[in-house]
Amino acid sequence: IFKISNMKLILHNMLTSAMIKGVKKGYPLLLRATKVELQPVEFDAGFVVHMLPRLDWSGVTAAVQCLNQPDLLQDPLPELPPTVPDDYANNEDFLRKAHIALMQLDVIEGCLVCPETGREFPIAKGIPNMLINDNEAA
Amino acid sequence: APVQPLVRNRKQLESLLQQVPTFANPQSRWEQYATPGEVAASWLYDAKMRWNCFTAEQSVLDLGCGPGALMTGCLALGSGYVCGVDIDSDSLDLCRSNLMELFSPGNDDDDNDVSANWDLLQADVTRLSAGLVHQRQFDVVVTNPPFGTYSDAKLSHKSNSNRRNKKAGQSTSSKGIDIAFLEAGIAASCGLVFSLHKTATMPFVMHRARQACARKLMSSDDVASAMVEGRDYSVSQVANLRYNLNRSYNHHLKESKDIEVSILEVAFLR
Repeated sequence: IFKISNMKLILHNMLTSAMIKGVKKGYPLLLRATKVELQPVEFDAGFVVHMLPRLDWSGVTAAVQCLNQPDLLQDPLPELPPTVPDDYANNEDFLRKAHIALMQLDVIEGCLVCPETGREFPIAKGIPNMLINDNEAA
Repeated sequence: APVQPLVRNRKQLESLLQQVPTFANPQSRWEQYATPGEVAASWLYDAKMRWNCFTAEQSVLDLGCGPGALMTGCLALGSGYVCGVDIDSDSLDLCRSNLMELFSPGNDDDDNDVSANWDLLQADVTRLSAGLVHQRQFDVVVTNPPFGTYSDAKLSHKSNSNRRNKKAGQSTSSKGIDIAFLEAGIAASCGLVFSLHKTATMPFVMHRARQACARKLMSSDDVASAMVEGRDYSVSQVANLRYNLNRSYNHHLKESKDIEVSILEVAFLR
């Protein structure tokens, strides 16, 4: 059976608010979640190993930290090291935790927030809305 | 255990994609038309045979995902993660419900445990590159962009301003939007880009693709080196198809109309 889930933190890891005028970096976006679920997804080490070099690990740890709110999740959050270990490709314990963080935590409702302007981007039904108005555009 | 694809052959893929429910009321302002199931199946299956892409370790981006035929195909072929981007809330709602419907428990005849990892993003594709933290995050980008047939005069909705690209102080009409989608795809990919364009425009589209590839790789090099087509990247026209645009919305002809489209393939070889 398929498991259905969004918004995953892997997507959060890629998003910035840098399309807004005046924003220098806009990353990482703050994550204010009001509804989160842990959706078990089959662990795939190969996917994590393949994707990791393209991800910003500090963005992952920041996102998980944002989810560390009382009463937000029944299940415990994975404990992530501050940096990716050198042996990550063979470190199953690390890969499993990374996989949970990236692929199994669904932010269903909440918002993403530009760290420089405070501009909010809503997340509804697991879909973030990054549309901006013309007058905000860089 | 590795992820098992949902479909095993071209015929199964075609059958699946023909089931994807499409737009009930295609919005002319976005030039919405869904990729027909058989076009999507042929396109994706050929790509898979050619490149062995859409594997469990790969990430895929669908620009202008609409109701999700291409996303469905990429997932069914076994892709590890697929992200669909669209500007329109109604499209995204439809896509979300299609993906949940097609892939919900009980629909799968096999006993294989399959993960379908996907996300949807509401965004303006023409502004997407600025909104992504890195270039090159996706192994494969697929896009069936708006063709940019209509000038601003014909698309008179106020909310159309959402998707104008205001680079260098100029607003672009919807003409050139397929190029904007292609360029966003080339920026976002570290491997392959597949896009659909009108056959008549292909020489121009391929020229713009080559320009975008040259800009992309040179800007990431520490040493200024000439980027060589054939060594660093390839741009090819890989299929020509006939595509039936039915009388979806007002400013089409009263009859349904066949148009000739081609698939552009960009591959980063290093």
